[in-house]
Amino acid sequence: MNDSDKKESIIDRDTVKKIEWMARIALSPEEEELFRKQFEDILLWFSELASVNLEDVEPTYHVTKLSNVFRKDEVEECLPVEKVLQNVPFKKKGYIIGPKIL
Amino acid sequence: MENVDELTAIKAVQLIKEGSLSAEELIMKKFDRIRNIDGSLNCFISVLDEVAVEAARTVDKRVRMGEDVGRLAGIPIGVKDNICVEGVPCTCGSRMLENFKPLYNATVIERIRGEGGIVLGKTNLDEFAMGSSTETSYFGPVRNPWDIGKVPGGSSGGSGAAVASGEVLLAFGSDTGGSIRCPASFCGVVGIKPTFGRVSRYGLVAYANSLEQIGPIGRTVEECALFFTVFSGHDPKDATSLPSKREDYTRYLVDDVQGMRFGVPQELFGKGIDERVEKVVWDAVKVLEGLGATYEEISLSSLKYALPAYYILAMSEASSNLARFDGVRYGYNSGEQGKDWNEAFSKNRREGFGAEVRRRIMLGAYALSAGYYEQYYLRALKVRTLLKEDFERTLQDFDAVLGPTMPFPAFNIGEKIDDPLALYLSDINTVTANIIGIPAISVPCGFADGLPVGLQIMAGVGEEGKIIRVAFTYERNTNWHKKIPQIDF
Repeated sequence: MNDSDKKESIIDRDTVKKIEWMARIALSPEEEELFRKQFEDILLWFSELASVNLEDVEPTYHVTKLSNVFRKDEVEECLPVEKVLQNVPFKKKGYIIGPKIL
Repeated sequence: MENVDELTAIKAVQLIKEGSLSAEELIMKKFDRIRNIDGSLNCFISVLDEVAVEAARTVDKRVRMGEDVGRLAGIPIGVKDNICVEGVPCTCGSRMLENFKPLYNATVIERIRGEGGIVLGKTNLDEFAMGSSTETSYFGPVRNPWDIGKVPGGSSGGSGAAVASGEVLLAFGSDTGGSIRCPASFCGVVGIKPTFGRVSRYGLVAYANSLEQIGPIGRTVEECALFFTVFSGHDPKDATSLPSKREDYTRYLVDDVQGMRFGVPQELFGKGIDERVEKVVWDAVKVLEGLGATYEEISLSSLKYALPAYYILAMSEASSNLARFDGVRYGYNSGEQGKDWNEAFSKNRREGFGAEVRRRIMLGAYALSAGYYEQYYLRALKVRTLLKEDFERTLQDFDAVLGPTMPFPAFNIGEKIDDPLALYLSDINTVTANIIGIPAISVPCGFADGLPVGLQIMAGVGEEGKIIRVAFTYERNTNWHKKIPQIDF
């Protein structure tokens, strides 16, 4: 990659911090620098799509032509609470302990 | 009595039904095999000793009682560890789910068990199926049975290597951008990525919902067709499941390509392709020509945009799907409260996810964020439309599209892992089938200096029958599928 390509670069440390917040993933300072560089390379590569003529092209979200799929509104049996809580790391008296809110 | 290690699933089912091979004996042989070689290969994250033996004894008992034991009676099957089996840890190769035990079975598990198939264990994978080399697993890399210094391909590397090395007869993979076909190619086995919606995703841990499908891996096309028949077809538990009737794919095992027309796009032999792979794949095309098919070299110009479009879509969907992992209801929890829930979640996610998963979630979040959505995600969705139209036009003139599954044979462990972009580029020929939802198969077609090479065959939506027929004809008229790695470690 030469220097003239680099001028499109958009990723600085503040942007990495912003992405950490959006994704709720905290990085270490060393990793922030490593990811910054890698994000820059990958986003630059994504920018290849900027040269495609997409005028009047509709987006395809899903390839099947299925739309809403309904089922009968019937009561079905649910999993028992003890089973549902089986994988909960911290629990008490049938409740899940979450991080504090306030 | 034939050598049990060389039995196909088809033959094994026949012998078990006749009573000349016991399902228990077959399972025990496979456990021995795993015990002997898996320390070197690392294909399995967990093995279901007791449950599998119990299931095998049930099959044997039912055979003695003259009952119908099903189309996969007694067959030991590997299950990629992102597919839920009730009560058995489903780790996704991640610290995040190291201790997670699913509360229900995936639909595909119910279906194979209903036909006598036996889950032998859960196979290793790239963390959350994100990778092309099976090096990013929290449980260590998988090694290629043809050369343990090489990667097995990914992300279903454990399944590919387990089938190639004879640890199991069949295995489930999942394919989001090539994750079944890449290990099939690198390990010298057969793998099918079905039409989107053909196989239920109920019980598959989601990575990129609009792209991924569960599919079969086996040594031969014949075995894959049988296995696929058992677990495919509509499932009301998956809202994207195609409402079509269940089909018997074994009726497409026809040794005949007379009059079929194939397109060979030059873009699949583009920059970076290994010359040895190019030659081997062209030889395969000529074999099909010799059997009465015709081919034409074509150009599909939109293919050159497929790879960046794929990564934008996959990462965007991943960022949304993996938002559920907060370590509160299940999954890794650091045990620290932090100053608020944001801090607690961010710490759980930082420690629970490996680097590649974090990278993809973060880039996906960025690509979907205000101000960048149009530039990345929306553009990728429009490129998807172009690719779809381009392929639909091509498939009006041709029965199938042929090319190399992977542009090169298996590379060294550690060779690409520090350069994410270099690793992404290896998926150049496989991602298109996922972006536009068409079926594709990889079938062994030769070797490059002792490492297997795969031929990829793609056809239109719903045309699994066609790719199975072409691959089967190729297999019947060549001997590559009979080559088995010599394991002497």
